Amino acid sequence: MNELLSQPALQSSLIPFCAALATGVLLMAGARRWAGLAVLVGFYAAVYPIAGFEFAPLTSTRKILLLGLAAIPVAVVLDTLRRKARVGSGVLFWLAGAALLWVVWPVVQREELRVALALGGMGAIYAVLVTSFASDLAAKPRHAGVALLTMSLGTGGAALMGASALIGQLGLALGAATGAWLLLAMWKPTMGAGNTLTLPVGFLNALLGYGAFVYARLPWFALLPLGLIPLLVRFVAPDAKVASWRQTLWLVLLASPLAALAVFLSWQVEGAPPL
Amino acid sequence: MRHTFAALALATLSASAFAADSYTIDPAHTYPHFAISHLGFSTMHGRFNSTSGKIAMDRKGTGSSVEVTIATASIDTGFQKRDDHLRSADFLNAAEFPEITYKSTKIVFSGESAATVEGNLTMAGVTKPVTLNVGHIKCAVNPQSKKDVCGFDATAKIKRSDFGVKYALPNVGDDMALTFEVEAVKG
Repeated sequence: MNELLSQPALQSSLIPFCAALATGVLLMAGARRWAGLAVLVGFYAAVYPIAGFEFAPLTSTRKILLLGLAAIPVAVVLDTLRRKARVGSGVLFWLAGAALLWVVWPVVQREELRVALALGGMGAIYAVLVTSFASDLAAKPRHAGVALLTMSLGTGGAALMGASALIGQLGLALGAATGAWLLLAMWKPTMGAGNTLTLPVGFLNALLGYGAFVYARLPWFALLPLGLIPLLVRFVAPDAKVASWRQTLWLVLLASPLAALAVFLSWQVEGAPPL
Repeated sequence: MRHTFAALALATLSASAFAADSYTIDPAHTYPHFAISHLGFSTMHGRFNSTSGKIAMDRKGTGSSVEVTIATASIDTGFQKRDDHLRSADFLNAAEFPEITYKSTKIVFSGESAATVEGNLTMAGVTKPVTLNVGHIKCAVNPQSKKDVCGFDATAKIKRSDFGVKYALPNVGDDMALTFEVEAVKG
């Protein structure tokens, strides 16, 4: 069993997918508003075999995992208050930027001022934009699911090409968990996404992507198509006349090329993954 | 009387300070190596190409010490992509922890050419005690440079998981055999 659990492919796909699916089915039965939590349950179920749950010393990767956990109660509170994350909560996104700065601080603090400002500033802006773009999809479950699925898979794939199998696995696991949630959303179209899904998952994508740029070799420009995914998906209007699965498929076809582009760019610069 | 004691103390301190010979590590002849199991198929060897530090040699007293700083990013296993992976957050996280350091706490000589060095190894932000077994100590004048040189070989064994470097366990081994070839120039 231990040997099975130590297989990277299993850790990043089956474990998060099954955990998210099972949790989602349970939440749908009694607490549909929190169904987005299923993705986080699936993700952190995969975190245990991939990276473990130790937080000392507090390395950059552990900071990312900790911040993802911290985002959950914030999102739950927002959904409880039935508020849009953007309305009156602009400070939330700037906190996301500050959090990313905390993750990359060990590198930023050693650079000369000009480079530090660029590195830290770019990261903060990336976190702000990705988190807010993702949060804007809170009321559109299929859009949110597709955007976060493709963004996560793209982040994971690009990180894998960028010499970090660990961040790659985490991104792919997030994608697998989101995929499970999306399947449930297609089955039950009335299931909402909410901030519980979009805020922490969008935030984690920003942290993982930028973390792979700073601490591995993901090229910075590979982050651009990833950041555009939730923005692009947002402009596709839902159509009640079209079947749910068709709409989802269309959204996937729209968003996937951007994710593929990120992976391609990373592969072009860095070559094959470190296997 | 007080002045006499102070003078004696100062003289003793000065004497002990001069008892230890100071050496600066020669980066061109100092390389830490490691060996680790790769999926159980073979033992992968690698080394770090950039090392600096100081050694104090005091065979007659307790003033001997070793302080070594290794540039994490200088890891070299002969394959660029693997080296990039080892530098990443998955393993040594060179961007966050640019140095691996070893500082001795106690050195015990066994005869002329062997010693045991107890000290602390700091890697990936974690510090653990590690003992080096030192053999083949030679201190003499280098016939080419005409400088006083001390050199030795040292070995140690660690578990990378003790330092929080746990990615890909157990496929990539936990046990690491360390070998150090060290030369240091007096001054």
